[in-house]
Amino acid sequence: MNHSRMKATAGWSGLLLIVVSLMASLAWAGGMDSLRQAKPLDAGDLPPQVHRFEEGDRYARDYVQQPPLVPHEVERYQIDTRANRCLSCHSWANYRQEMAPKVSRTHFQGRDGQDQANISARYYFCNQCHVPQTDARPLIDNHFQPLRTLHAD
Amino acid sequence: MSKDQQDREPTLPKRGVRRWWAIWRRPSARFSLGGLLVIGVAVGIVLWGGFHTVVEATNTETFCVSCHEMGDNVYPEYKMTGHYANRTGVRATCSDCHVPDSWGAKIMRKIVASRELWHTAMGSIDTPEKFEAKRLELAQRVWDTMERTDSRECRNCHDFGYMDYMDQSDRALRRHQQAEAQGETCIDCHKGIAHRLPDMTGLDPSQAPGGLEADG
Repeated sequence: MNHSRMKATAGWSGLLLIVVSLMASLAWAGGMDSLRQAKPLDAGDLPPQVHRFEEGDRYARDYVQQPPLVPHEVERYQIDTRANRCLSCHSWANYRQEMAPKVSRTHFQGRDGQDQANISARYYFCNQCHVPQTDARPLIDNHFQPLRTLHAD
Repeated sequence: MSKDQQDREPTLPKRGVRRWWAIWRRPSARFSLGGLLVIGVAVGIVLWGGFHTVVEATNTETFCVSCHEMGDNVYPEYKMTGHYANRTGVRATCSDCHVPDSWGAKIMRKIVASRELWHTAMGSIDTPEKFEAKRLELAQRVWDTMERTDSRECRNCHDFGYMDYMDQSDRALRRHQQAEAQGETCIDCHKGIAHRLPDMTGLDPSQAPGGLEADG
């Protein structure tokens, strides 16, 4: 590559950079829809509202397959390959002493449908489905109606 | 020197241990008993106070985490828990749970803990991997102690006698009363509240995933 061609390439690259940044700023001014919306980078967002869990009466389920909600605090519960705080009360070995509901038998089923001797690895991480019950309202209004066969009220 | 004086002040051995021993044993002819007593008590207070200051200094959180075995492994876990920081700011630091309050038990604990110096020198748990490998053994030792003492250090703050059950959740109320009736102790249930749990699947197989794999 000779000297004049290098110079030309540098010039074209510079022009391209200017055009791209101009387009980007236009898009921004036109209200580009990002996760931050049009907030400047140095302006913080409001923290999401923290919903307090509700201890005590268990919430009814809204549909048949709904994982029951947890009627107590589970913050900092350790669930990993070494220990499972949930199972220390809810396992079939422990539920009677702890007077806790026991894990459903469905959770013993492995990937191929055979029953295992304890909760299957597929269901091991309890809080993937079971979350504490809170006073949180739906973020978007909707017309969902719970099944009347599951709700007494 | 007359023969009289020689009798009253026997000559000291010239040098060595025997000389010091003789000085130590010989009653003072110069200082009054009262003076010796006052000086003795004053020196005693200073030494005793100094001893206690040192013992208390070894009870501080700063001292405990100055060894990286503590600072790197258990301390960050403890910082995530309610005993480190909470709504009210009332907290329990290392020694509140791991060192007894009463004097005799405290000194015994300190003497036993001197083995930790040996293991620091040996590097027994100087990497996270080594620590993880020994976590169950170390935790089990603390649990055994707490079971033996009926969770004495817990009860310095948490006393069944002063628990207002009506202020507890239904679940806690029921279970605490059951524990009291069955003579259970705090640590029977409240394991892993200040540090991560070790591998519990040996103690409680119902905490392990699968079961088929575990048995095979």
